[in-house]
Amino acid sequence: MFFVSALKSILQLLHSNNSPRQISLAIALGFILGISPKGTLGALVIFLILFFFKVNFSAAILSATFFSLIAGLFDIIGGPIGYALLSADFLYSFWRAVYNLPIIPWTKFYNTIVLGNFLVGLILFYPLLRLVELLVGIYRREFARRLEKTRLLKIIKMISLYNLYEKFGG
Amino acid sequence: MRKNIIIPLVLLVVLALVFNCFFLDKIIRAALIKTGETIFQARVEIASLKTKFSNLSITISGLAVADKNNPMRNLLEIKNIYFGIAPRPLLEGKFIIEKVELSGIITDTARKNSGALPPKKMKKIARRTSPTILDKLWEKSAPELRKTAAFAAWREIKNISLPDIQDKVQALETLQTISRIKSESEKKISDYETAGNNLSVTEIIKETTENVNAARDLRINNVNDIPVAESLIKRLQNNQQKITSTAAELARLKNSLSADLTANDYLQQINQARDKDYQNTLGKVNLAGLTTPAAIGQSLLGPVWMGKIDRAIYYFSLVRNYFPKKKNPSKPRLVLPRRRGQDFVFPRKDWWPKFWIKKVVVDGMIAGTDFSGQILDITSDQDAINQPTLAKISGKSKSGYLLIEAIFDYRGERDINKVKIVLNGLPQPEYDLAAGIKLTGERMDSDNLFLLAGSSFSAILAARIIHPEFRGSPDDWWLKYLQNIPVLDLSVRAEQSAGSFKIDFRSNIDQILKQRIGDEIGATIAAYRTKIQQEIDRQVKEKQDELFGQVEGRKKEILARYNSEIQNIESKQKDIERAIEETRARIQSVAGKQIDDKKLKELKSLLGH
Repeated sequence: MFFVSALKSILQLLHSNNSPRQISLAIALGFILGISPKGTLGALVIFLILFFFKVNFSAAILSATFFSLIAGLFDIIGGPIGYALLSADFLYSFWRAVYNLPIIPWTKFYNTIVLGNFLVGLILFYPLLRLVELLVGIYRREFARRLEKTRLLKIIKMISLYNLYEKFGG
Repeated sequence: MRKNIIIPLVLLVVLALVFNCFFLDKIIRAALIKTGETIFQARVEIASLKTKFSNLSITISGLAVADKNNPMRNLLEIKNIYFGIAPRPLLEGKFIIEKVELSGIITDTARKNSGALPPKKMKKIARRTSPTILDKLWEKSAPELRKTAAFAAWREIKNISLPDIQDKVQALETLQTISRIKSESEKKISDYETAGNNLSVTEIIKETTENVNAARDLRINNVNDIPVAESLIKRLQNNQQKITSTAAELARLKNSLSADLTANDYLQQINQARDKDYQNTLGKVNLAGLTTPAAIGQSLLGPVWMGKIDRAIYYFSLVRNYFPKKKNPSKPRLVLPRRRGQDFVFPRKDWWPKFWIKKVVVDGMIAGTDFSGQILDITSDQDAINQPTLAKISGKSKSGYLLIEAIFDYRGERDINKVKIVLNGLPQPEYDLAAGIKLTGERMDSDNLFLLAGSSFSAILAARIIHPEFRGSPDDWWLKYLQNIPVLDLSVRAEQSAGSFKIDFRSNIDQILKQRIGDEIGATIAAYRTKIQQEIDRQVKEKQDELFGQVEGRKKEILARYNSEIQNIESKQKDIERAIEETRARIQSVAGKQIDDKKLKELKSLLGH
């Protein structure tokens, strides 16, 4: 049921009125949120950005959920990056200064995964943004109308209607 | 930015308030319980927890920590815990608490349900915590130190009442030895008898008598009778030889029999077997163990004091595990592994450590005595504040006082953990000793010092119990020797160094027992030993007398027979000698007369008559 629900959400998103830019922004932000360890100030800040800015919230949550599941793969890349940066001698005084600032320690930037994955997220943010935007555009131009007519979409729409009926009906 | 930001903002604030009101306390409570269960490896319960954002304070009520070694008892209960977190350091992620108030502390209370954690949880905790070297060493040494061999022997002795001697004195080897000697001697006697029979003394005497009679009846009238007489003499001489050799053989047999089958030979064997039987019977009753109560004190009292050392080691290991590791001065950064990634800990520019409780004020009750005190400077970085963690708790009651002092100093190269506990004049708690025996007393004074410095652990425990009282089951009949002891003193010294644990346990209980047992049981044991000896002697004497009687009787019989035969032979020897002499004399007389007549005839013929 989870996959059906997720598939339904994705299709709804693709067939919604949100612009490709909005969708791609949501997915990119969700990506950063997903690969970062939770319980940090940074994650909370990203969450608040999603909340307060014009970003498709459900897309962002869907993206964050998906990338959380595969966050371990990014740890393999982010961890060593974070370690290298935190242990670098030339950055020592910088890190020490930041460590002693108020509030900043709550971001847990001093954790190798937090720092490393955040940087990976930042680096991949724009390419992901552009890629998703492109893909959404292509989908809407080439496949949306065709898919509207397929049985699959009709079934999914029916499931949604059925779920609504079950929820609110007798 | 979203155009309609008010609604989401309000929603967020409402969510935060709802979270704070309904969930935050529960989350913190669950986190504290989880942490407590990991540390103490037993159930931790918190009745209620309230946070207050206005002054960043937390109030905890009804904290109970179960005892992992005794799940139906609580290690401690705390009625109320209150503390507030300083706001300014919190912005930097530092938890500085000016004062924590712990009130209503009580220890060792009963629980309604078991405080043991489910096995699955314990496995998880075990995976997360690893035993220290001290734990491993103690675990390795403890079984050896808890050996109660002497005590086990004592426990098996139901009583030393004497009626069951009959059961103990059975299947004596001595009786078997006597039986063996009897059959051997019977065989020997039979051999002597057979040897005597083989000499055919009767036949020889009969033959001799016939020949002697023949010699007596022989008529020697003229020289023609001389050859017959001479052959008879030859026969008599043969008889004489036979009789002489038979007499010699009889004499040899008699001497051999006289020297053989003597009581001395048998007595030596019988006495050896008797001694063996005596020792074996004593061994069945295990009197040896009773008279030498070696290490009874350690066996009986040791487990309680070993338990105290157990606890000390456990808590020291806890402190070690949870005290932050000392930063290596050569490494300006400390790297700590986490579930995801590693944390780099940089030096603080100001003097606040990451975590610091400046003062903990405690009050409560132990052993019926109200106490109060304080613990200073519990912190994650003692070097930052340049203070060790100190604790001083004292209490006074009508009859006595208690004092607990502790220092945990992790600043130097070698960490020092020292705890001193002095209890004086307090009511004696009931101790569960070995084998289900309980110990109470009028009061107990104890002085305990535990020290863990680096990798060396030592403990010095001394206790004095006034009017101790031992209670056990009806099987523990020997506890009567421990009644009415005015004072029980004991001291335990435990030391761990160079990979081994040494314990020196001393108590006056061994001496008391030895003396009292020596006084009462000593005489009883001596009497019991005498009775065992007498019973063995009684059973043996009967058979021994029977044996000697039989052997002597048969021996006398055969010797008498030998003597009679020897006498007969000697008389026959005389008869033979006499017969030979007489026959020779008669031959000579007849032969002489014949010659005289012949000579007279020759003379007459010469003279012409």
